Amino acid sequence: MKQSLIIVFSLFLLNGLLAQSTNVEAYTWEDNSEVIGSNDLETAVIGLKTEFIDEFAIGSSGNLSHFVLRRKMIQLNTDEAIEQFNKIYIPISAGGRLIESNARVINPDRSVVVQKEEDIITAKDEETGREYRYFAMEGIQKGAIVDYFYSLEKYPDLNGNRLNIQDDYDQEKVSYMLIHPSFLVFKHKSYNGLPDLELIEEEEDYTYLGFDEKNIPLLKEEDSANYAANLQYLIYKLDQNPSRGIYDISNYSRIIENKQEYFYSTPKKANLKLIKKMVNELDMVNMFDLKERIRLVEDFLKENYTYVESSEAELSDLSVVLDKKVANLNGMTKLYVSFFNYLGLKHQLVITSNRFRNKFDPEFEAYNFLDSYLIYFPEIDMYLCPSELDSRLGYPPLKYVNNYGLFFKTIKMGGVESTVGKIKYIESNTMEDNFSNIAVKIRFDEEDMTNLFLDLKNEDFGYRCFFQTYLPLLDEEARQEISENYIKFFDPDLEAENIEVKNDNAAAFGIQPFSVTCNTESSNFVDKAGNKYLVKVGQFIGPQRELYQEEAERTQEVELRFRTKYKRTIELTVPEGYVIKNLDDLNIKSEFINDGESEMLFHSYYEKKDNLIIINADEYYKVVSVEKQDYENYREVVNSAADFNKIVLIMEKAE
Amino acid sequence: MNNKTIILSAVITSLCFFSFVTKAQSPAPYLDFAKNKKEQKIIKIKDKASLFIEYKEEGWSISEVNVNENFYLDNTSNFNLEDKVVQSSFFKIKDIKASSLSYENNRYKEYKVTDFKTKDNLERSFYDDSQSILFSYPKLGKNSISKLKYETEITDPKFINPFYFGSSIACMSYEYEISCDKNIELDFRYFNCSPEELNYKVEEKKGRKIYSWSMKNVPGLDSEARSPGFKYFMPHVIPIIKFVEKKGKKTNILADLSDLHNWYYSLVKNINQESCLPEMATTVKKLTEDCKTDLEKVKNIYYWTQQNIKYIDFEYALGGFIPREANEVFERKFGDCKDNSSIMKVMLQEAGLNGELTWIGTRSIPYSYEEVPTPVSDNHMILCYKDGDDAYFLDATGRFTPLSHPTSFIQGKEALVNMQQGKYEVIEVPVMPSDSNIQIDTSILTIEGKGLKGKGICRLTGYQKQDWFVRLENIQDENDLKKFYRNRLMKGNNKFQIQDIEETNKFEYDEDFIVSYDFLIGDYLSVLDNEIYINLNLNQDILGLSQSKERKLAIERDYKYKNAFTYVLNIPNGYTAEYIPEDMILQSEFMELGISYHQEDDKIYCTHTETSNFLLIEAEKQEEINAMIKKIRRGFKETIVLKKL
Repeated sequence: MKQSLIIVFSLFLLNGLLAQSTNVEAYTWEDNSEVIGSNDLETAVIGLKTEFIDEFAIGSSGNLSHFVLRRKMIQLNTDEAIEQFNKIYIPISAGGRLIESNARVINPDRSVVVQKEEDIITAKDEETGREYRYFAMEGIQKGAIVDYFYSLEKYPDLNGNRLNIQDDYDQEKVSYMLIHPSFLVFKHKSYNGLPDLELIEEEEDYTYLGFDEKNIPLLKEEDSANYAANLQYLIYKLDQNPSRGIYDISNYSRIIENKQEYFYSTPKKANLKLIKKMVNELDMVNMFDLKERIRLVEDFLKENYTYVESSEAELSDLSVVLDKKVANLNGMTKLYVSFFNYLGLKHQLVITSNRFRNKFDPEFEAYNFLDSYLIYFPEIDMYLCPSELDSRLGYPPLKYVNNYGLFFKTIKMGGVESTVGKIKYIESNTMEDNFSNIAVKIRFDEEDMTNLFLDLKNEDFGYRCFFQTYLPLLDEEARQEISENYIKFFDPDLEAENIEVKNDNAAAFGIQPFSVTCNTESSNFVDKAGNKYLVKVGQFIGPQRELYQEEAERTQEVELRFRTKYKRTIELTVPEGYVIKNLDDLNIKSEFINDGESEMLFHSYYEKKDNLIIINADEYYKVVSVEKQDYENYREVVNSAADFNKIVLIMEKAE
Repeated sequence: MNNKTIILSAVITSLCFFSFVTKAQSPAPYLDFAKNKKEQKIIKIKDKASLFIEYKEEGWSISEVNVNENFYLDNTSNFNLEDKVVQSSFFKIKDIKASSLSYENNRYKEYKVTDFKTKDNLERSFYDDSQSILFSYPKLGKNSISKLKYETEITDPKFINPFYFGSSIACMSYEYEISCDKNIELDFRYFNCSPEELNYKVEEKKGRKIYSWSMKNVPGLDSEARSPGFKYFMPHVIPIIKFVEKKGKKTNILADLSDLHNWYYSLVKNINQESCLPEMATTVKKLTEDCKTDLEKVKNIYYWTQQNIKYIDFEYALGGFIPREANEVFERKFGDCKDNSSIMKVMLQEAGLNGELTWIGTRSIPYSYEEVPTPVSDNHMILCYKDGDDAYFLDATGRFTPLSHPTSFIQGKEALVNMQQGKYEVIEVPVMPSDSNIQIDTSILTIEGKGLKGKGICRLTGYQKQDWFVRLENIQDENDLKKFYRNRLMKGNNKFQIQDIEETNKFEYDEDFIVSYDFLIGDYLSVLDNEIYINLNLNQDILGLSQSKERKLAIERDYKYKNAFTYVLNIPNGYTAEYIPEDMILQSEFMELGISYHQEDDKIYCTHTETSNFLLIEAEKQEEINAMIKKIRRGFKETIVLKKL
């Protein structure tokens, strides 16, 4: 993605910017005496001051550099907070340099400890070229102010940078500045209530954008919330160099062009020959179902090729990949594309981001959303992910769905084919694709009525059992443990010798449910009270997630991992001469209807046929996100299932 | 988050290599070995170490050559490409060779690894000198073999590593060999094995002594949940260089514990020569001026250190052995175990008291100093203070450790207490009895509909209190605090809701910690016609102590403890207790469990007691505990019946 920069670079120099000391390099901090702490000695961590600068200017090499300043002034009021913040790590990317690092501790008694330069430690990693400078802050007492800043010069990444501003503690006086040459146009966007960058000053050479001394409240982590997506952050990018007539520099059209060329140029003959040979061995001649054909190729490639996170150029070379059976992201994607092209399977390449780290913004084009690839098959409306071993067609990694993506679409105009980028939503699959199925048959042991004979079936499908994909990597012991856990789900003490497991292989993932059945007996489900039996029938749906405890108001919307549904059937044979009087306890219904659509449900009910009682407990979550204001409804559905889990039937001798 | 969290990128190196065909070989013997073994993915063909020890005029020359060969049974070996070797200033890698033997067209073809990359390790301690040398094996597939050979220079004769005849995967052959000058006297210690089992041999070759051990066809040995460290069950040999004879004169290296102490002494004798900083002296004065006894002074200094000196460890070269100057630690306000010991020693001195630097191995190390008088026997430093005949073991690396308790991870271990040159004492750290680590939780329960409303009061002491404090210290938010107490105090079912929490003596070192709280438990009882059914066994966590019958290894606990949970049920007006279950008392050497009931007026009392009396229990003895749990489970099923009058 760096090719396009070269053009932009060469143009900078022509604009005659002179290398001069940057604002980042000239940065200094105030006198110790001007550093004033907070009177609040209760809150563990208080952000007193935060200053970030991103400055693009002529660097030490005479080219455009990215100068970075990060400053934090924090008051630490607890021992734990001190331990959390007394170690400072400065990451330096390959080719970058540390300009300056300063740290001081100002204690409540106003004594000051200044960090000594010789105490800064360096840790290098030859593999990534990355370096860390780090140190421990000295002399911190409870209530101290820890103040540090560091500045770096690094290779400029101009096509999209994200900077998180909000944190898990309150910050006062947060300032941010983006400085860039005035002949360039930058675009930026603030998210989740972060103030917009405003024009502070426009000099002849440089433009200053930013905001000054804002209060940024903390954002607490919550269960089932997408923390990174909800944080206040900003993204900026280089957009234009109007003096040279270059526009839309960070738009996706350039990417589409480059990637199209890389992925879809005709492979070398030798490579095609190898692909042909492998395809022939797969024996797909009589296979007509598109989904089956794709899965066969995918299962084959996932089993035989290893993905590694690496930027080594040779690992994206198809010839090397085919020979060594190892590939990086580009190499692996190219391998898949080459197979599908060879087979003539219509598909679109999709580039997207990890929604849990950096949710794709459909309205702001920036390269930092272009993390990873999916391959989309429009005819069956399904996605495949080449790089992740534990995903399969129709089940791309959860981090890439419920998110937008950049789709490569081929269009024909006047008989000429060309590829354009289109931003579309990557919908995750339906609740039918991710189900849990439990079936239990219960008979009483007439010799000991607290003992139950049980036929148990516990099945999972789709994302609920993605481990199917890596079962081949596990040894027998580990595989056995997984199936045993499906039985111990009902009760940790259950022991069963005749466990039958179905579909415990990668090829079954997303096609057949992982299914465990067994017959066993247990006395853990019935208590005796005088001459009555208390049958803990609710326990057969297993332990349930619950949200009973009253809490402070929900601050973030719920974002679930995937849509899912549950079907449970419990058949209970009541022994001759006994009755159960509280069967109506089994009826529970809780449903959330939004805009006339049933989005979430728990419903349990029963029917009675002679001495057989058939209990059903259905539950589903048709949606993946729940608005803040609907949180209580969500909570109610979740808790209803947990309520069912506590149902006890009372069985006694018929009068 | 701030940048203190460093995510280390995945370990990948490029795959440049040469290849050539090796001598014809077949995978048959390896496949044969793997047959009927639990290993289905990988086996070790060879794990060999050859130690070379020499002493010349210019000094010691010690190096170890390690050879590891693995065989891969299926294509999942693709996922085993990456490997690493670790070095540090005491153990320097001099040479490393690695290659894959890929099985192609019925013969093995060798691909050599040519790209090795170095990475400073950041994971182990804040700062040490360890580095990883990273590389990847090319073309590992079904029936392929990986080969690794590297030579380590050992810079100090006191740092000879043990050799282990075991691992989590099966191995066809372990070999250990030591070639040593005749003027050097070695000694060997055996753990979890005997010399005979290891085919021990001594020979003389070309004027050198050759010691060798080997073990063939060794099955894989996995660790299990809560099992003690691998040193407790893995067969291993520890070589010790006792002395070297030069020109008829013997020089001791580690002949016995006094040699180890002499060396340790030489590392600490020169520290803290300068006078104590005035600020530190003032701090000591403030901490001790109102104290009536010496022990109180010790306590105040000890607790001050726990609170004010934060744990950050520097383990660079001999920095891993030499405590830093107390003055420096005082100014920095951080340090590791040695630094804490150093500052406490000087602070005690300033208060006119005497504490001694003390070396100790944590419970992960099963050796006694007498058995293994080398640095492998310890990994920690504390300060020992003696008050008459009573010894106190001050370990300020954490917080909330009362003077009455040593840290739980050194209980029962030998402490090597420094005294002066040539003088030391070995004292055994006590194992704290169960009744010094108590949780007593008493609740008064009232029936409301199908639920229970309750008032609880929970009292904690010793290690149990410390466990809670360590967790509570991280909790700032009101919601998180509720969540913590809800989890710790949950009763009945997960419809348990906690309210109005009141904490007494929170974060106090010497007082009992008391939490009183109100709670509700929804849907807990069954009501039918004229009867209410209620099971007063509201906490059944103890059932989790039951172990699988297949368990092979011992279980380790952090400490001995005693719990008592009492539930007092108010019988509702107009009801009478129709059925109250019988008491149950179960006792063994390791545990005592009990459930008891009694009625007083309109109240039913149910008390659970649980005493755990072991730190380590062997696998065969666990059946006793299983049997007790099985019985107690039956007890837990007993339900009280209340009947309307």
